[in-house]
Amino acid sequence: MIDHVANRCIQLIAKSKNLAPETITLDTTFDSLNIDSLDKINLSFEVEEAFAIVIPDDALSSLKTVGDVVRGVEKLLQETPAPPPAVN
Amino acid sequence: MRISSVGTAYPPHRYPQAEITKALAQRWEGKMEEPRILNRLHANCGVDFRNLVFPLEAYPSLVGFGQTNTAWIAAAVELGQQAVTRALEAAGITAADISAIFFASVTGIASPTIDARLINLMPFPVNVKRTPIFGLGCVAGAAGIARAADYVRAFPDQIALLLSVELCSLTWQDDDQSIANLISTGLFADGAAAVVVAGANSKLANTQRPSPRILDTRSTFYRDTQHVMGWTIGDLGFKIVLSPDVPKVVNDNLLSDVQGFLSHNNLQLSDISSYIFHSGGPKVLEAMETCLSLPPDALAPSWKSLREVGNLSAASVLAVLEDYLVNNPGKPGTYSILAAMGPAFCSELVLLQW
Repeated sequence: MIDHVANRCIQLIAKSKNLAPETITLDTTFDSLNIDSLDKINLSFEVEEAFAIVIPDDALSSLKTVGDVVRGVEKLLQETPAPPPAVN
Repeated sequence: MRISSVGTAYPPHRYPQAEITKALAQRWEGKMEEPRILNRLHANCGVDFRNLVFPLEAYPSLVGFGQTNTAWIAAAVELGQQAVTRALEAAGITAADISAIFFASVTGIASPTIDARLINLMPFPVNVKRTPIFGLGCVAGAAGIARAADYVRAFPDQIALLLSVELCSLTWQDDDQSIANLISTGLFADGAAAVVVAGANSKLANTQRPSPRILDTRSTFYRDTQHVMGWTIGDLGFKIVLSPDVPKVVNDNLLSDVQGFLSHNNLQLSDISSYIFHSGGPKVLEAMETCLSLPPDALAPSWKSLREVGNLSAASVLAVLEDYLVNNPGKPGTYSILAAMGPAFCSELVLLQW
């Protein structure tokens, strides 16, 4: 089952290439979507904003599939400290 | 005919990739719409360190083509002499033993050319034949070996020398914040390499050192691909042309080129024990690995060269060749392919037997 993180990543990728999200799976490669280095970088900015995370600058070259992105985001979300509780 | 030796030389100013990125980000502050793109492009070039001819703080004072090209000539002579000296020493000969020099570069111009200036500094014979080559770009390392091989095939008792000097940092453009230039400033670096190519009847013909025989060479021109890579040459010097299509051109052509070349020599891919490939960049190396279905680590020396010194244009494949000669020579009788691609777009293949 595709979870929230995967769904959101797929939506962002689909939007960036004007594709239907249904055509993208976790196994879809960036090469097959014609996503080049610059596309990947622009996408990384959108993913950072969507999940409030910071992707290491050197992480992108190892990302070959949509699943790689999802796993990377999940790992960064686990490492990111929860925001402090709101103070009234 | 054989490759008897390779000598490399690198300029003294060695920097981690992140330090170069930081210096360029400061230099171009206010010029880039999205400065984070520079950091991410540079961090994903597969490059950890690069050597530069000048300290980073000196580059902003180099303004215009005349000043940078004058700096290129001085540095190219110095670095070229170091590379030639190392290659000659490794082969156990002197400049006096060389009958022909092939000099290749695409990062600066001079007349008299750099090879001529070296003849005034080293004891080359006055009758040495000179062939300066400009414009082949990254392919010139492999093409230079091929042309030197053509020469010693015609004159088998003679020895030829190839010298490649590429000072890519002297082509950095302050007014170009295009993606191509951002990638170029993250990928390319400075270095020189010289190769001694010995004729079959020369004094180096029966050396005991690892010195692969050159069995065959092949040049292949890809029509109508001149947009893929090259320079736009203007008042400020060389401005990079670098298309995202480079990996696609590799994917579309390399396998058929290599298969046709090997078939012509009654060989097939499974006969090749090592691949001495130009360290073009992560995308190019991945495309080479994919289209030839290479086993993991088949291009490890190329990846290593990219990480340690960046893409040296024509000198890169020669640096990888040096690594094979010194650290990992093939077993006697095994075959290697040396290959590079570059502006035109085109490829050069060299079949070696150890």
